[in-house]
Amino acid sequence: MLRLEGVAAGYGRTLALADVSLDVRQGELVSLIGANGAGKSTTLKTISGLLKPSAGRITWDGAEIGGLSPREILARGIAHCPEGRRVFPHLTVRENLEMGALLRRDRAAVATDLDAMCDRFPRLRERLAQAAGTLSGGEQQMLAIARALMSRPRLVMFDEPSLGLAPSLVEQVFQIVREIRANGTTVLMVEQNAMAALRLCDRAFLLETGHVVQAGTGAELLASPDVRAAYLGGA
Amino acid sequence: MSKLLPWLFVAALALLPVAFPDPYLLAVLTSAGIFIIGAISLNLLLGYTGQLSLGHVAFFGLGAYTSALAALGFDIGIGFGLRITLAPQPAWLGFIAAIVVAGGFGWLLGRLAFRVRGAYFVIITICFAQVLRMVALNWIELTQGPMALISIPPFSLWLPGQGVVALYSKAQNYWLVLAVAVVAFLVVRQVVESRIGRALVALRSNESLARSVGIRVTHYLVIAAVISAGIAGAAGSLFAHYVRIVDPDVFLFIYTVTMVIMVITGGKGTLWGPVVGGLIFGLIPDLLRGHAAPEAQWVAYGVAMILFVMFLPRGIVPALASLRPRP
Repeated sequence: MLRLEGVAAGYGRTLALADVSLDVRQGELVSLIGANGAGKSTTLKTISGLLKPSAGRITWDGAEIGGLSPREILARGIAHCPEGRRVFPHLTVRENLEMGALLRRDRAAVATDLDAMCDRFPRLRERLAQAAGTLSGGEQQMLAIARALMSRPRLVMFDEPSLGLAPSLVEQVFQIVREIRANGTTVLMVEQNAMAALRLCDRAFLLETGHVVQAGTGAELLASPDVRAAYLGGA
Repeated sequence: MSKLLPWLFVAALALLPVAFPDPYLLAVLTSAGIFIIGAISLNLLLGYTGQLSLGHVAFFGLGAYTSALAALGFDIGIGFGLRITLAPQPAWLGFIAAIVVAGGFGWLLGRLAFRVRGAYFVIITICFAQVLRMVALNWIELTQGPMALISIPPFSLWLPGQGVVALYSKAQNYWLVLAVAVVAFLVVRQVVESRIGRALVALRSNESLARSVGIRVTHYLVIAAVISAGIAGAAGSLFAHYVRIVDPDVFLFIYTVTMVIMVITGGKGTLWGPVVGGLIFGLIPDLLRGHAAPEAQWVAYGVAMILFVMFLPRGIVPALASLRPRP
C-alpha cells in the first residue's frame, strides 16, 4: 500500500533521514520506534508532504507521491496527526473537526461523521462550541485523532499519540488506535513508548540516526536483545 | 458587544457634525478616520494572519497616487516613442482604480513575499514601500516628484434634488470617510467570519498543522493581502481627494508605524481593535496640541504607547472583553 525506498530528507542542510525503506500493508498497524532524533517524526512529515524527500521513492498504491503537497497527499487518503500542538487553539471544537474534512465535498456525510465522532468521544460533543485551546491535554488529543479521521483516510499516521498524557489516558489512546485499525483503517504510528508500541502493532521498524536498522513483527522486535537493551530498559 | 451598540456608535458619529459643527474637530476626526481605515486593513494581515507587513503604507500611497493621477490625467512617454495618455476622470473612478491597483500590487507582493516568513517577510515589505517612494520621487514626468501632485479635485456625489455636489466642506468629507470606514469594517468582518477567516486563524496558530489538513496556506495569505491592500488603497484615495495634494511622503515609514501602533494597542486580531486604537492614537497628538509644547506631546505619546504595551500587551479590546462576565 505504502512503500518508502531509500528515502532521504531533512531540514535545510541537516539530513534527518539518510536511508529509510519501509512498507505498510493494507489493514496493518505499523509502529516506528527509536530514540529521540532517530528520524521518526521526520519520516511521517516526509510521507505527508510537509517535507520534500531529497532522494528515494515514496509510492502509494504503486504511484509516486514523493514531493506532492500535503493537500494532494491528504486527498489521496493519507491523514497525518502531528505531534506537539495538535489542535487549532482559537477555533472551536466543531471548527477543528470541520477542518479535518476540508477537502471533502460530501457535506451531508461530513455532518454524519461529525456526529459519529461525538458519539465516540462524548467529551467533544459537550464542548463543540468551545475554543479547542481550552480543552485539557487528553481532550485535545482525542480531538486531534477525531480530526484526522474526519478526512476518512485509508491510512492515518499518529505522531507520539501518548506524549504528555496521564497513564490512564495513554491506555485509552492505545485502545482507540486499536479500534481504528479494527474498523479497517491502516495505521502508521510513531511512539516513544517502545514497549507499548511493540505490543500493539503488527509490524515495527526500528530507526537509528536516519536509517532503518531492524524490522519485523512486534513480537520479534520485543524479543530482540538489541531492542531490549536499548529501548526497553535492559533485558 | 450587543448587536445594537455598534450601530448606535456609528449613528452618534454620523450626528457629530450636526451637534458640534467645529471644523477643527471634524478635520482631526477625518484624518484619524482615514488612518483607521488603513489600520482596519492592516489588521486583516497583522492580526488575522500574523504576518507583520511593515510596508503597508505602500498600498495607501499607491491608492493616493492612482486616484490623484486618474483625477488629474497624465501624458507620459514610456520609451520607444510611445506615450500613455489619460484624460482627467471623475473622482469615484479614481477611487475604484485605487482599490484595483493597490489590490493588484497586494497580489504581486503576496506572491513574492509569502515565500518567506518572519524577518525576511518584514524586510521585503519594507523594501517594497521604499522602492515605491523612490519611484514617486524620481518619476517626475508622472508624479511631479517632490513638487507633488496638486489641485486634486475633491470627491463629488450625485445627490437627489441637488445634482452633482463637490465635497468641499469638512462635514461632507467626514461623512464620506465614516461611510467608507463602516464599509471597510463590514468587509473585514465578512472575510473574518467566512471560510477564509477560519483558514487564516488556523494557519496563524499552527502553519504546519494547517498545511497538513490541506489548507493552501499561500493561497489564503495572498487573498488576505489583496483584500487588505485594496482597502488601504481606498484609504489612500480618500486621503488624496481630501487633502488634495499628494507627494512622495505618503510612502513614509512613519505612517506604517502609526497603523501598526493603532492595531496593536487596540488589539490585533479583533474587529474593534483598530477602531479603538485608531481613535486613541489618531486623536491623542491633536488633543495634546492645545495643552503642551510639541516636544512634550511626543514624549507623552511615547509614554502612552509604552504603558499600553506593558500593561495591555494583547491590546485594549481583548482586555475589555476579559473584564466582561462570560454568558
